[in-house]
Amino acid sequence: MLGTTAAAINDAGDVVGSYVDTMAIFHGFIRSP
Amino acid sequence: MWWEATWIRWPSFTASSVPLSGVITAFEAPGAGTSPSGGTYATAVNLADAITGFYLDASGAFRGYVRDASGAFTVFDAPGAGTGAGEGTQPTGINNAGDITGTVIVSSAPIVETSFVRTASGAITAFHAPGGAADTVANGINARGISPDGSPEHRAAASTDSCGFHKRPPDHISNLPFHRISGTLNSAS
Repeated sequence: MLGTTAAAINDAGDVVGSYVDTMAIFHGFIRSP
Repeated sequence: MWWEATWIRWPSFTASSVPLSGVITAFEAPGAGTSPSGGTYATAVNLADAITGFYLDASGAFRGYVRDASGAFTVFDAPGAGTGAGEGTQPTGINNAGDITGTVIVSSAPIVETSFVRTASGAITAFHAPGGAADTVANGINARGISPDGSPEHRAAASTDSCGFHKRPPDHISNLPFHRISGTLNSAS
């Protein structure tokens, strides 16, 4: 299972979530606009 | 049919062909396990870019964290959190003051859950929903503090208010919303 899951967004448009790599390990991320 | 023709004309997409934009920063919580399904999960962010979430440690237990905008992590465990696989602390919301709410998995077999509020200074208070139910799941605080049914009256208002639902025993199917305002728990329905 590969993919990216967005979990939440703040009022500035920053998005956080998690993605899973090829080893099935999850990593957090933040995306700024 | 029109939609069939439209669908045929559309180009096919793969994950690698989806256009990407924005600046993305990946991060790992200290102590996060590296086994399959392990790692770091981010669940909420506030306006100061403080991020909360949890990671699975080497034992498979959930550990809560907050990551500030500089990338510094603070790891925390709510009172009563189990330490076995599938147990522990799962933050779900953070407000602009840095208060965090979430769920405590006391036991995974049988599943026993309660909730907590952690202030920005690090003080953690665990609580149950009304009725004495042990299975309480907090899923929002302030800006994200909307109960599962989205009703405005279930929206949390003050700085450390939270809301969520508790699972009605014994079937855990009919969830009962609640809100917690100024430390007072109320059933929302």
